[in-house]
Amino acid sequence: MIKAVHNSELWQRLHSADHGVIIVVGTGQWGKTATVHSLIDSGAFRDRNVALVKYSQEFIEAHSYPDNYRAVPWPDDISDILGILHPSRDVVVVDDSIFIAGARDSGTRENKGLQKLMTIISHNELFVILTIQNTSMLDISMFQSQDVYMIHKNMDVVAIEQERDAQKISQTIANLYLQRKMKDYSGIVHPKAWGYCSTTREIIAFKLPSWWQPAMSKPFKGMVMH
Amino acid sequence: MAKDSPITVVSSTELRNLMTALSARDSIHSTQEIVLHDDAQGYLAHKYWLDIMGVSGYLRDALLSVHAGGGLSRAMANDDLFLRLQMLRKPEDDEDDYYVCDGPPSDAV
Repeated sequence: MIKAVHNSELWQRLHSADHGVIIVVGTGQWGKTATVHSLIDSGAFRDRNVALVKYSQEFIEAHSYPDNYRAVPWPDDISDILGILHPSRDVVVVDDSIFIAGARDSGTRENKGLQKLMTIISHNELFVILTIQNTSMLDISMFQSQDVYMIHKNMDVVAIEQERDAQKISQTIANLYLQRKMKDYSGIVHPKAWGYCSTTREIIAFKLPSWWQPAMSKPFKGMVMH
Repeated sequence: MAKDSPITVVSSTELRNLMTALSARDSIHSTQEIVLHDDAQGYLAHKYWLDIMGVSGYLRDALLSVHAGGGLSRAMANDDLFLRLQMLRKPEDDEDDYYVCDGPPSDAV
């Protein structure tokens, strides 16, 4: 049976919540960024503004993002974060979150800042969406919020072997679901559209937003992160 | 896998073999069932006995679920990943169900 995402447990839980962490994981170029924007475009976060961390404002302006999207920097001092993000009004997107939440950079200023932010997102009624290619690359503190929603995209088998133990089974199950759907709906649904939410055990075909442009999946093209 | 072992470590080799076996299902035209259970023989014996006795449908599922329920308890208690995988619903159970994320609700303003 095919239903609109608004009937899914994932969408309804997000729609009724005022904070949470959404982690979108999967091998590169399998549509993680597009999935994030499809989910936002579905109205799951109501009419919140979207803060794209470390994007360049020029990139935002050069592409057809909706008016409620904006680029935000990551502050040198985390105590300044609430001057950048707006409690109760923002969805914070940290695309390719290894840049500020990498497991091997847990002691860096940016990583410590994000860890602190995660502990207070419920107080500030924020949603934080992270994309990452493998959760072993993501700092463990990102999973320790009480409201984490995992959305799995397809992952290479070799990459699964490098996953955190807690995620190996979930990602294996996800791959089985996703690959089955890719086969059954070949030519009907784009293979990169499929996602599996292991939190709610739901399979979702994430369609591209009407305003989507291919370049939006590579927001950091040509940029060197520091 | 040692029975009653407090922790089961899933090696990369085992995981790769599992992935290979599961992904091969589509190219195998005979019935294939993968049983990951600390008492796989007992589970299968129970299942075959029900088949021979002509027990099917809800009653069969209920009787097998009792068996599975015990396994789930052990899986949770022992943090046994293999057992947890065994206890998960098979993808075929709801393979036709999915959601489409395609913009805001139609009644959105």
